[in-house]
Amino acid sequence: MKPTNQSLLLATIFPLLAFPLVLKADSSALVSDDELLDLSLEELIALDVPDVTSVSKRKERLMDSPAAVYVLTDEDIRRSGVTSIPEALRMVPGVQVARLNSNTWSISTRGFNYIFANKLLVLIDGRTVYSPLFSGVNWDVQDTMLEDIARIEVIRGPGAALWGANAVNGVINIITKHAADTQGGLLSTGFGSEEKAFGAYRYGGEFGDDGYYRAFAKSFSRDGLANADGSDANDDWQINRAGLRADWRTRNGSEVSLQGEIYEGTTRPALKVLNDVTKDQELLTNQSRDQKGGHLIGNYKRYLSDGSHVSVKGYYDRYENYDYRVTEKRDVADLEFQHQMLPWGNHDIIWGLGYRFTHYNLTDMNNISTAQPDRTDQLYSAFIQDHISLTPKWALTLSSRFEHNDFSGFEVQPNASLTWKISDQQTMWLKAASAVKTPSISETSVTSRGVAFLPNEGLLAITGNENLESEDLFALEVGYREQFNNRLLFDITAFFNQYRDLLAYVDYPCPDDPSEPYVCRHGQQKQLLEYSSTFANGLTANTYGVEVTTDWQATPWWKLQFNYSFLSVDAFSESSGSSLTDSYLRRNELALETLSADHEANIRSHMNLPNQWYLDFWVRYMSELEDAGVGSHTALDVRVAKKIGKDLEVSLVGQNLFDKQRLEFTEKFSGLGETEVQRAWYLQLRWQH
Amino acid sequence: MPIINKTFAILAIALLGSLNPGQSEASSATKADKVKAAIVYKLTKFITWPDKKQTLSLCIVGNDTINSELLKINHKYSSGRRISVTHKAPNAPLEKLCDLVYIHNTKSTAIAGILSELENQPVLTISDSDNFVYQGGVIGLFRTGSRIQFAISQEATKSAGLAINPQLMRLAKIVK
Repeated sequence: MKPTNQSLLLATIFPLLAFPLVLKADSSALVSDDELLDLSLEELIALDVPDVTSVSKRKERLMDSPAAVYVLTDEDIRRSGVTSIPEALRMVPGVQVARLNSNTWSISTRGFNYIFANKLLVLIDGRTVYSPLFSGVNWDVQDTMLEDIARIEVIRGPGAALWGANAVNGVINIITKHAADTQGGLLSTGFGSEEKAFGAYRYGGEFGDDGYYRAFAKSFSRDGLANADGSDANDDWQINRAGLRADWRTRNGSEVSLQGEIYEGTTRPALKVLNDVTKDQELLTNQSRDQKGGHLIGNYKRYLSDGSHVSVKGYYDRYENYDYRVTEKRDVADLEFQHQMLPWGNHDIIWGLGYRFTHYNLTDMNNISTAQPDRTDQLYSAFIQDHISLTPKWALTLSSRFEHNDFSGFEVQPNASLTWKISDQQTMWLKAASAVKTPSISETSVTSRGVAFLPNEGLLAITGNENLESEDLFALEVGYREQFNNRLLFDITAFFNQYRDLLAYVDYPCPDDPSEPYVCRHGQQKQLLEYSSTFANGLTANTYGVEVTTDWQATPWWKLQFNYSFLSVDAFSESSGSSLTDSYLRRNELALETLSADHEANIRSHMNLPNQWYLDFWVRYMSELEDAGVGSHTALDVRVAKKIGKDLEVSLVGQNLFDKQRLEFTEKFSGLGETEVQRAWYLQLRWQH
Repeated sequence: MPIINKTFAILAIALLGSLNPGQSEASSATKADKVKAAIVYKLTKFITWPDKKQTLSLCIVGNDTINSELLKINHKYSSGRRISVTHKAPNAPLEKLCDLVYIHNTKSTAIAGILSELENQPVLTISDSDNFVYQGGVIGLFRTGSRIQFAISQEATKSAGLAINPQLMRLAKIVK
């Protein structure tokens, strides 16, 4: 397939390259920086000037951040043609995204690519969407009106010192726009082959002296993916969602914001579970899975007269998931306090306190069971960061987080980084950090049977282990950035990670017949073997890799981006003294080393053509996922858009154009069946008024 | 494959073009710096000082990437007055040397010191420091979402004896 792909790509690029060079391109939409002095004051205060990053919780140039940071802007999201947050993350260097079925994704960075990709912390407007049930993210309900996302900041590498446990391999911060930036009406609607129908409407206005608000409603209906034989997989998916946000300033200059969202939806994921009668694997494709939930977030920031500021944030989040395997209801309440001050000399200190309350209720369980269907967990945390400007060129940042959780007790997660501003256009940074992934409910207190199938061997029963300890990471990173004359930005990061106490499944007495250890038998005629296992902190691993990003503004109307990442994983286990356990450990070792792709690359191109035409394409490559049995793939998305006047835009998007359909992921442990991503197109209209 | 050769040739030419160091001057100033500097320049056109001025002396206090942008308005004219831009230390006799002071990247305690020195002096103080207009400054630049706006303190304007064009007041957030 590859040569074909390549010639297709060249055939696509070539005409695009040749023509715009002779035509006079349209770049009038952008005000060049040198023309700013010619604008009126009214125009200046209405300009869109994106804020700097929140990577370190302090404001600094992205260029100077001592971390592997990548920011997806609202323009990146719009022009990529993606229709969901998980799909948008495919653009980020070093982030691996694989879609298992219509609404399940495996998203990871720096290894451990699995649907329980549990070493990545995801926050939306500061609200954690990490699920303590299986320590992963329910990506299917993480959505909002995409046009209202200001940016998605992705930090690869540990961010635990600032963001808390489970920010082991990375942190994804999804930040929505201030209500002042979403004034007026916006209608975004369309239809297509996979995106059967979608529509969203937002309206924003002002209130009081200095207040802004917006409200939106969004709905989509997506077609199911395909089975391997090309037939419809029946995992259609639809969600309705509505939300509000208000931002205002009080009389004394304090900033307040309130936001909330509610949603409900349904899908039918393919399930592979044990049929108790036939004693064989059965594929269920007609089990509906309903989900609903919502959240409310409040933020208050006050500037004190000594130049410091304090902020308080609180949120409440409700999630209900009516899955065939379990009905899960979760309530989370979280309160955080933060104080930033400049106490003496060259120190910039931020410290904070946090408390989180999580209540879980699990009912109607098929294939899984737990002794504690109702549980409450509490998390107490404190963090401090000191940014010290040693000289104008050198800065040292020291930070640490102290946490107490109900699974593994007290955890300390320190971080040290050094930034060297070689010049205004060159920055080098070094970072050493440690982070932990705390055990989840499913790893400590849930038994699952009849969902995990080992090909050609039988079933795997997994019983949680109450005595698990956290998985530990020690990471070393080095990075370099250089800006060449405002048109070319080059960014390279190399990392070495050392993990200890990684989880592995090992042999365990049979849950309902301890006299028959390790192997439980089902049925009379057909002897289906079920191997009994539990989790243990049995593995260590070293990973290393390199990530490169280049942003190139080739001409005022043409922007190109290239990124590439390489990853290598080496896992080890020490002899446990039992040859059976050792054979399990070796199996885990091998799986761990082959979960993720070794190579990944993206090329994106954005062109602003004459007469308000826009042409964008995106080619992405991911090498083999050996454990999942999925080969390497190259995909192409193309978007053509035409703006009519200032407020109307019509676009046509083609996705996955190289393959009719493609398997991206398979999975053995959860009982979820795999379906295949299809070539798709959709037509979209955006109208602003 | 002539098509491929041509494609690479065009790519190579475009790449060389973009790397040509003479083409565009590298600067670390952010877009926010440029917009703030432009706002400072435009603001001056709406302000009248108690004494008639031939030149306006703009003093910068604090070091950061915006300095190079503010220096670009040196020798520009604002309502017939020629602007001269200089950098000053926080402890310089600003009331004698400056008609406008732009303070940035300076600790709040130092800002408070400068503002008390300049109290009742005919000097326009501008800053992007949080809370500047509540601290006694005349004009504060602040963010609302992705826009940069400005607030004017009526009290500080009055005590500095400055007259502000009502057109400007309409664009500003007014603080008593």
